[in-house]
Amino acid sequence: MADEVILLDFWPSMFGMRVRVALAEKGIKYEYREEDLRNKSQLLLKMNPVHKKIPVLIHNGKPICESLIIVQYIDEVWNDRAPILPSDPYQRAQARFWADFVDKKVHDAGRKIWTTKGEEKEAAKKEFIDVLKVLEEQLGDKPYFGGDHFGFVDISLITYYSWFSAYEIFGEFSIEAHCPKLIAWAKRCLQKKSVSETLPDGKKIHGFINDMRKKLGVE
Amino acid sequence: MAQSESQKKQRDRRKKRKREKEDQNQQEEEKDGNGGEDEVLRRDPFEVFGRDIMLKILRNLDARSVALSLLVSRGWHSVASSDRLWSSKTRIMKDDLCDHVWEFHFNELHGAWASPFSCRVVWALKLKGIPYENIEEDLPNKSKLILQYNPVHKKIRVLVHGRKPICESMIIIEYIDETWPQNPLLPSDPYQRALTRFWVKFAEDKGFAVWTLFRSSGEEQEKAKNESLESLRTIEEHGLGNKKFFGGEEIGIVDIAFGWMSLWLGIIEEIVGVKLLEAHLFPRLYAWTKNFKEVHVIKQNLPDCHELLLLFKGVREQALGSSSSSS
Repeated sequence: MADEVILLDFWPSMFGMRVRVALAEKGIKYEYREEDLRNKSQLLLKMNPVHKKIPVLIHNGKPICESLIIVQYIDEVWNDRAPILPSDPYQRAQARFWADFVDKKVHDAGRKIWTTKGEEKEAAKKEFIDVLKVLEEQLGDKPYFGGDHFGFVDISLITYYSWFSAYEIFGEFSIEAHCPKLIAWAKRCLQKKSVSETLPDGKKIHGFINDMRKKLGVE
Repeated sequence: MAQSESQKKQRDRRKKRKREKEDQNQQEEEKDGNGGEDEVLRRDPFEVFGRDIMLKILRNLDARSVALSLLVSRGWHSVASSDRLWSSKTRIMKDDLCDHVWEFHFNELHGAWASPFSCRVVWALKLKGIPYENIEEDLPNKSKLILQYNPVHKKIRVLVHGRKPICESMIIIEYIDETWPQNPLLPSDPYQRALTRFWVKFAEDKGFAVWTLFRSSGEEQEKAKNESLESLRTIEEHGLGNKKFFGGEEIGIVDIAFGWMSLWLGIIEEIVGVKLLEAHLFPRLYAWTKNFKEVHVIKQNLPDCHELLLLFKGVREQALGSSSSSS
């Protein structure tokens, strides 16, 4: 019996991208279904009744929600190839912590850069850079957050990269100027097929954010 | 910091031994015993360093660092570096439980005994029968212990005092579950694990509103109240369903994650004068709080109700006293 894998997603979502990268890393075939977030499908509402959000992975009819939880699920089910989390419990705890950190810190600060103006925007920029600097320090001299191999924390953060150029334009700053090592890391990740074929072009994201800003009335 | 210092010590010791060994080998080959330096290296280190320095060195050694600094073979080193080898022999101290979230909500680390986040970790340890002691001893290897059992760096503390503290207690509990597999707190099936993690995350993300309710007044408090009620509805309907515990017949990690509702929620309700978890509105969840508190390990490891009430009263008075709006 072949596995049936469906992904309910939204193309610019950095959360959805994480799942796509994980699936690509493991070489899993799946059906991608684009959701219109202003008109959510019955399937999405049924599969994620609590949050009604994407991404949702449906594996043989059973739904799994929350991007990092989905990535861990993928790692546990398809455990015969390309491990995403380390095998040592201590290192797994570290990986979970940093992925959680990315979730809680990067997203909110980044979002404020394109949704606010003036002083609020400047504060958001500063917070965003501070957060990236902490991550850069954590990376240190390792090629990836996972050490020698691309792993959980790398997946959780790299998907923001396609949003970086948009943040830079709206925030009027250069991320590379503040965190060169992090940008070097991102470019290293982009050399992997699973990442380069998943992440949309920065210009597309910029266009998407422009439309969002008009809708939200931010100008 | 401590880890890199001890690692540096290990590296230095390794280097020193390696140099000594190399020199020894070289000498054996040459066999002409020339130079005062070679002589020193062949002497007993106790003689060279003297008693005082040797004692200082030996005091810092524990079995683990000795095992790690011996150059036997790669296989030896990989076994010696495994956390699992050393974890069961050492004790976990209360200080090892770093409690950022409690600090965040209470602005100080006062009343760490009262923290539901630390309690969770204690419950997990006790459920697995892992020796845990509440003694404040000044062990020379204390810093190593902290890093061993607190899988999250303390230096992150500064950044956690923002709008969203990162609660490591659940990450620590997963670590505990993976390190000591007896009495598992997570199911073994990947799909069930994913569901379990979903509810743990829900508990973390949504539990926040209740603390906001506790610390605020007026409109902010009203908003927090509605959010909390909404969360309780979701938990009752989708999370607990008809099960006795979130973990099924026995408590599991999700029960531990929601454990604060069994005692702390009631205290907050009493002090703030707002009833959230009412039996007629949330019958199953209400029953769960009763069942949860009856579990032996939990019953034995809950802070005293009255003392908790006093502590929270004081904190709320302070929180409201510093704000200009009145409830």
